[in-house]
Amino acid sequence: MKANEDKAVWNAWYPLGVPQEIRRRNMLRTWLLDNEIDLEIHRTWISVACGGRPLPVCERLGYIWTTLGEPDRLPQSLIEYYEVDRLAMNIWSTPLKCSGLRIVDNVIDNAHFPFVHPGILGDEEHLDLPPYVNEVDADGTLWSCSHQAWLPITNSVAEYTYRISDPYSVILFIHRPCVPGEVQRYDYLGIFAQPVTEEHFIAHKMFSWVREDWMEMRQLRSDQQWISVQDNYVLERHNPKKLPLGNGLEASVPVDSASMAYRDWLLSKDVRYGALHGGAS
Amino acid sequence: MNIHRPLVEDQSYLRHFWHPVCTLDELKQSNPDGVGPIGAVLLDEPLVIARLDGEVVAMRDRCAHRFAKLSAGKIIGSRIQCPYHGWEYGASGKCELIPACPNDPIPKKAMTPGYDCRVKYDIVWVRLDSSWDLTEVPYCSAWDNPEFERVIVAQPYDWDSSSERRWENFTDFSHFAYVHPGTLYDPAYSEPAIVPIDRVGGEMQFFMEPGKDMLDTLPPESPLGSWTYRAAMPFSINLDIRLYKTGKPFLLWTTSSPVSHDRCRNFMIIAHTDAELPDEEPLNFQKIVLAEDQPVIETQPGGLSLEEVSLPTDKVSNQYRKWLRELANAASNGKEAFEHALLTDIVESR
Repeated sequence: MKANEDKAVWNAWYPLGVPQEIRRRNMLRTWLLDNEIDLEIHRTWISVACGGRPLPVCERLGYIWTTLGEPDRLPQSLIEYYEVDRLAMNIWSTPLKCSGLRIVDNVIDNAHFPFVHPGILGDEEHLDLPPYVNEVDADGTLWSCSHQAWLPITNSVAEYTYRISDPYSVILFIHRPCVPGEVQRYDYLGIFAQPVTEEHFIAHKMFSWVREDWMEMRQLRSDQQWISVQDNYVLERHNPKKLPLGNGLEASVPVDSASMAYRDWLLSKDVRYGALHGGAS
Repeated sequence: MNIHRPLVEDQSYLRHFWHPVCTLDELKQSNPDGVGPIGAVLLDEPLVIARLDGEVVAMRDRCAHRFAKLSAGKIIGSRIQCPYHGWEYGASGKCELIPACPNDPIPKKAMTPGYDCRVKYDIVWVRLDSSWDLTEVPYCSAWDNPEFERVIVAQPYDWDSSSERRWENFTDFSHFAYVHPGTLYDPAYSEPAIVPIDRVGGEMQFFMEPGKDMLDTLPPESPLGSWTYRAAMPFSINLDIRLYKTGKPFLLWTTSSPVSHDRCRNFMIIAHTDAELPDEEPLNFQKIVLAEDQPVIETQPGGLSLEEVSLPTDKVSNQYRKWLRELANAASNGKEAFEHALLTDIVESR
């Protein structure tokens, strides 16, 4: 399908990469929604165009963002990213061969942790997942809250909340321990897909964690990359490569309610780019 | 309820840097001989500055006897004499004469600590802790640079604010439209660029190009041009301006000296290429700019707080604050950690 016929996808912002990496690699071209995108690197900014048409650009959450359409708001906001006691960085920007909707679906699915990330994000001794809550707020953002899952690397139960404000991106809030009376803080993982075509995307993954003495930037990045490598193995082996929507192709169980809510949310926005509607295979 | 969370808990890392304490001119004006002594305060430490046997020295401003200030005394030959009982101290800080007991041995405790002291850019610099010796006097591009016809070392000015606040104020792109409308900036340009920032050799370096259209609305003495910042940590800024009007360089250099957590003494050098321009002209223009900044900055608390809300467009100060925290934490882990935090380069611009 033509991306510009999918309003929810066309009128969204997408990251094209980290400015310092764009500069270092002298990256002058990329792809977005089947369109070739030209970048021009200036000393203090980076401009973006498509077929000679200048596109809006802004820098947020460590990335350069653009849009081909006419969004009614800026890229999603996460003001906490800029808190100066945080370690914030791009984990990587890596191409993957499936629909970008698949990675959002992967991130919000805790039930795969024991099998895809054994010993890191889950293990087969702790398969029970307590019920959690999915809701859409007044701004149309989908929240999936109060996920609890066993986290072997900390030997404790972790709590997660997911925020989806655009079809192709998700931010994970990892609840930090806090004492009564203290404001709840979170560590954040952002996974932002840059859809190249319906079946290819570039995964931009960032984190913004409250810095602690033990943290070592290279090690953290490498740990997160390893988790992504495990996910990518599964992501690239999905068949179909697009995300099935409303066609009864998949079998779901109650613990998949976040995935179901995401699919319902995409359907409510009439998202079709990167999705598989109807009974086609 | 959130408790106050300071950006940096322990300020002692600042003792490892060189800070300006007075100008040579101030020392010369201090008395008819032009050798001091004069008093200064650096990081809450009272200092006495004097020229002894031609060398400028800095030591703690306190006689070991009854703690009178040596800066209230006078220079006798190659010694500083305490105003109270006439004890005399040499350049090393050791007491060399006690008039009340001239023939008794001088107690070992009869001394005041001396600090590393240098003169550069006609300014006296002091480093309170030289044990790691990892820092240099900050860079100034105009000094010994024949491209500049005139280099003016301005009279220092004091603010009831911290050096951190002064540094951030000088490098803050978003305040121009509100604090300096019509002086430095056109209010139409209120949304600043988010520029690449490099850490190189202990300096934060970045570049900014304000809109050239503002030439039409700003006063002629406003130094509008492209801005290249070389900011030696923690409190120095070398702002090299390439003037749009003439294509020539114009330098604004400032270094804030931390008197205490909420008081700073600020040193300024202005340099330009117009040999005919009276010094008063750029100095008076800067006075106007400072008079616009000072009342606003003095409303801020001195210490930086983790509770302050930071925006994407605050990138310069966000990066600065992160680096200050890294330096403070590293200093508590020893020389190697401090060296790594200060001198590991991170380049975004290329």
